[in-house]
Amino acid sequence: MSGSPLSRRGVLRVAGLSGVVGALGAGPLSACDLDPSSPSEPRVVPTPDPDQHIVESARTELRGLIRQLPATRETASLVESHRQQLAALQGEPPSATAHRRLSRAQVAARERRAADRFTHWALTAQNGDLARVLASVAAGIRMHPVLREPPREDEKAAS
Amino acid sequence: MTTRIDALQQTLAAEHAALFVLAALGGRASTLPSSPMRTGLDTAYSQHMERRDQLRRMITADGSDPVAAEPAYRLPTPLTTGAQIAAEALRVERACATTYAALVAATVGVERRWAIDALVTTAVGEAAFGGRPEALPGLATT
Repeated sequence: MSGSPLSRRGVLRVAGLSGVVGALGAGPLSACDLDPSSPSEPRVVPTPDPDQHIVESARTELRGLIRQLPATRETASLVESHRQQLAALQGEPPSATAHRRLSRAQVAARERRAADRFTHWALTAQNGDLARVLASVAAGIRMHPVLREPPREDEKAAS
Repeated sequence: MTTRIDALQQTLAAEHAALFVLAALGGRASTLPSSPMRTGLDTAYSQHMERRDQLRRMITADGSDPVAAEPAYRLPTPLTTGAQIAAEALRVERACATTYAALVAATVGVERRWAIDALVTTAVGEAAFGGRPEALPGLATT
C-alpha cells in the first residue's frame, strides 16, 4: 500500500535478499578457525561475493543522500524513503545529517544521479534478487515529485 | 526458482490482464469529463500494449509459444466514478510493477535493462491514478 510503513523483514523476505546481504556480512575467518586443535576437516572458505562492492556502494549512496538532504517539508518524505531503502539493503542510517542548503534543482540533480546509479547497479548485479531491490530503489527515487515535476525557472538558473 | 522464460510468460500474462482491464476502464472513463486520469489511462494503455508486443517477441525469439490472453478477466464493481476507476487503474499498475520487479530478478543484460525501464515507467505512471511515492515499488511488503 502506498505510503504505508514498510516492514524491513518483509522486504528482505520477499526479495530473497536476506541471504544475499547476510552472506556479504560474513567477515574474514576468525582466530578460532585457525585453532590447531580443531578437527582437521577441510575448511570451508567463503567465496568472495561478486556483488559485495555494489551493495556497499548502494549503502554509501543512500547514506550520502540522507546526510545531505536539506530539512524541508518536501524532502522529509524523500529522506524517509531513503531510510527504508537503506534498511532493505541492511544498511545503518548515518548518525548525523548535514542539512545543507541545497536548492530544489540541486536536490533533483542529486536524486537523478542516484537513480541512474541504482539502475546501473541493478543492471550489473549478478544476483537477481539483489538486482530486483536495486531496480526498485531506482524506481522509488524516480517516483518522487522532485524528479517528476519540472524545475521552476529560477531553479534552472541555480542548478 | 523462476526461469527466465517462466518470468517472461508470467509478465506477458500480467500484461494481457492489464490491457483488458485498462480498456474497460477507458470505456468507463469516456463518459466522465476530461481529466489527467483519463489521459493517464490512454498513456498507460499504449505503454502496456507496446510491452505486451515486446514480450511476445522476446518469447517467440526464444522458440517458445507466448501465453495467450484469457477470454475475459474479472472487473471490480462498482466501477462508475472517477475515483473507482483510478483506484482500479492504480491496482493494475502496482500489480505490473511487482511483475516487472520479478522479471528484473530473472533476466540479465538487455532484457533486464528493459525490465528495469518498465518497472520505473510503471511506478512513475502510478501518479496519474493517485499513487503516492513508494520507497520500494514492486516489492511486496507483507
